[in-house]
Amino acid sequence: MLRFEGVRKTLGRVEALRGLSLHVEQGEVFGLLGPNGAGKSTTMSIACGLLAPDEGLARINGANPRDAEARRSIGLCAQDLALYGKLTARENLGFFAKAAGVPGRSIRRRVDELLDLIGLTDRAGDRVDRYSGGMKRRLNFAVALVHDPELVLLDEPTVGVDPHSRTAIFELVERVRAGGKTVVYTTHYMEEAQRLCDRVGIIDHGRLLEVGTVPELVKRRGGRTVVTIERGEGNERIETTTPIAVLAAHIHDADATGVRVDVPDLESVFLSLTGRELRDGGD
Amino acid sequence: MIRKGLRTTLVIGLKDLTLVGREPSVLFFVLLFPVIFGLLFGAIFSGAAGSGRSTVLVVDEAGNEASTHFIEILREPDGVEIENAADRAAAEERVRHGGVAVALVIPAGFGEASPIGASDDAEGSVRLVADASRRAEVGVVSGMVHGAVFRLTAELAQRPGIAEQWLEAGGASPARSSMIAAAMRSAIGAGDNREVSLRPRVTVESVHVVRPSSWELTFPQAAAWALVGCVSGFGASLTSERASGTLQRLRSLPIPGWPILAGKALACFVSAVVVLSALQVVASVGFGSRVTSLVAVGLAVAMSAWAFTGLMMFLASITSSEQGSEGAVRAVLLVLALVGGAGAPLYFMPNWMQVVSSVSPFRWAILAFEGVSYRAFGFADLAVVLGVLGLFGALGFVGALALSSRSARG
Repeated sequence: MLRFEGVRKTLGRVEALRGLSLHVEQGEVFGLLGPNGAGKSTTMSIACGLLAPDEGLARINGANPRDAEARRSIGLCAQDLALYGKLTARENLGFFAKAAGVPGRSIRRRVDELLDLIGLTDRAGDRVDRYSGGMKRRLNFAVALVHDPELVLLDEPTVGVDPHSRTAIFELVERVRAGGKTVVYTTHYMEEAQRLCDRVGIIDHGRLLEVGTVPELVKRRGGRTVVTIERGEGNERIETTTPIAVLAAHIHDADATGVRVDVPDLESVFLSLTGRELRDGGD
Repeated sequence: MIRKGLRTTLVIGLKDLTLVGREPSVLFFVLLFPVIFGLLFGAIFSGAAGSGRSTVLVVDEAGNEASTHFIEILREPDGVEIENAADRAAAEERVRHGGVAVALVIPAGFGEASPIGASDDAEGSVRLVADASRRAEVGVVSGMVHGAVFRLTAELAQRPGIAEQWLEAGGASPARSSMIAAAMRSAIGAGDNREVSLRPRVTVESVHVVRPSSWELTFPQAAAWALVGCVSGFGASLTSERASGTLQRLRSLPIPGWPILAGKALACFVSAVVVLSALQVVASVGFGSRVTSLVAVGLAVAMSAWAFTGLMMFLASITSSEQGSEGAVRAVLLVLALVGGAGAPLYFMPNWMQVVSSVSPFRWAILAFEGVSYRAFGFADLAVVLGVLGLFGALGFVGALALSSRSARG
């Protein structure tokens, strides 16, 4: 569906992508996980044809996304709330549908479907600048779907939203996946990637460091589970691949005042790959 | 593909017009402010000229001693700046286009005798071609010309034989002519015995291009401010779209790049046409501003809108940040508007500034609206002005496309 081969891109003096290669298969949700400045948004811009690679190849279903026709299969939900605040939700969706070439007779039906999908049917006639941040985020997502693309590019769609709206966006992604779409989802939130993505690519400094399913990545790069037995005089730290057995062995330990189990996750994967924590940010 | 692109252009243009309709501040500056400007300044403006030495365009068809001396008198320190013109047609064209307020035609036969009491169109009469929209400046120059004529006449009358020739040409007997001439010379203290051959009988005829009302003077300037409103409003909306990400979203759609810019340009063009046409209607119906023809007005409106749409596209493409672009648009527009005569008439400015003003599309837009009104341009005159406006628009679009392509390659 989406293929990058050795893509390099320099923006100003910054080398944003340094030979990035990745393959996203039809129907999967692919997560691109990395800190700010890792190259996620540049990857998305190249994937949807906004930028051209300086070197390498970017293809959507074998076609160059710089060609307008190739972009028919792409829907971009950028990090910015790319909406017209003075228009209503219905007008925004209708405008982008018309601009994308959706046939006139099916626009109304498509707009109604999307309003229903994002739960804004009741507020469809209100101007967008009167919406809450979460409602705008949902509408921003819906606009990316307006021309029914095969590939949906979601560039940090949950930035700055409240927990309730974040959950709503997760549900939207799951419904889009259930509809057979391919999704590329960039984020610097580990828990989003773990929850939503079939496969995850870890990106940093313009390079894809590792790709796989979350269990694969954790197994390959996450290290072992750490069981910490807490005692009054000091904690005992045990690295193990069999944490249950370790817990069982200490179940009658009279000195133990508590126990903590740290299961490896994407955070530990990122730490082992870059030597930094994901939340430290990037460049 | 072209048809699809045109459809997208229309869709984007309609969206932008809808957005303008929902933004009260933009509506005010695009639609109401120019009308207020026209009403306010039309009421108080009377075409007064500026200070400093006026420039007079001279066509010396006589090329004799009298005409040379006459020009020297005009050029004296307290007089006027003199520029030479090739012929009458060229001089009249400069006046009609507002380049100078007055052209002075010194015809063949200047300084030779003509009967006393001859009409103003008598041979040898100086012809003053004046831009009536600059009445005060014309009045000053006219007074200077009359003063120079009187002084030349007085100087020549002091020379023996000259006064007698004038009087004889006017029908007086030789004896009577001698007596009167002696009395004249005695009265002005002459005693010169040089031989001269001049016979100055000079009259001045003032020819006005037309006489505009104050409304006819100010509505072209109001049109310029309307264009400022359009360019500012749509320039800001383009940069706002760039900053908010909607432009990026449009560029990610399965459409070629040109309809996106074309749609924005279409909305700006339509707005400019609507507001300029509304101004013309207000000026004509409300204040009696004359128009040469509806076709000419339509062309002036369309070409001005085109020129400033191109300017808007270019200015909005200069910088990528919203604030930077808005600042650039405002700064450049203000300078161009002031240099182009949208604030104060060009003739208030020194000559070098009037030359510089040619680079401002405001100058040409104002001239186009004056041309289809009181200046009553013919087709050829109007075609030149509209051609310049067309060129400004084309350059703006080419510049905008070049900058956008560079940005897209980014």
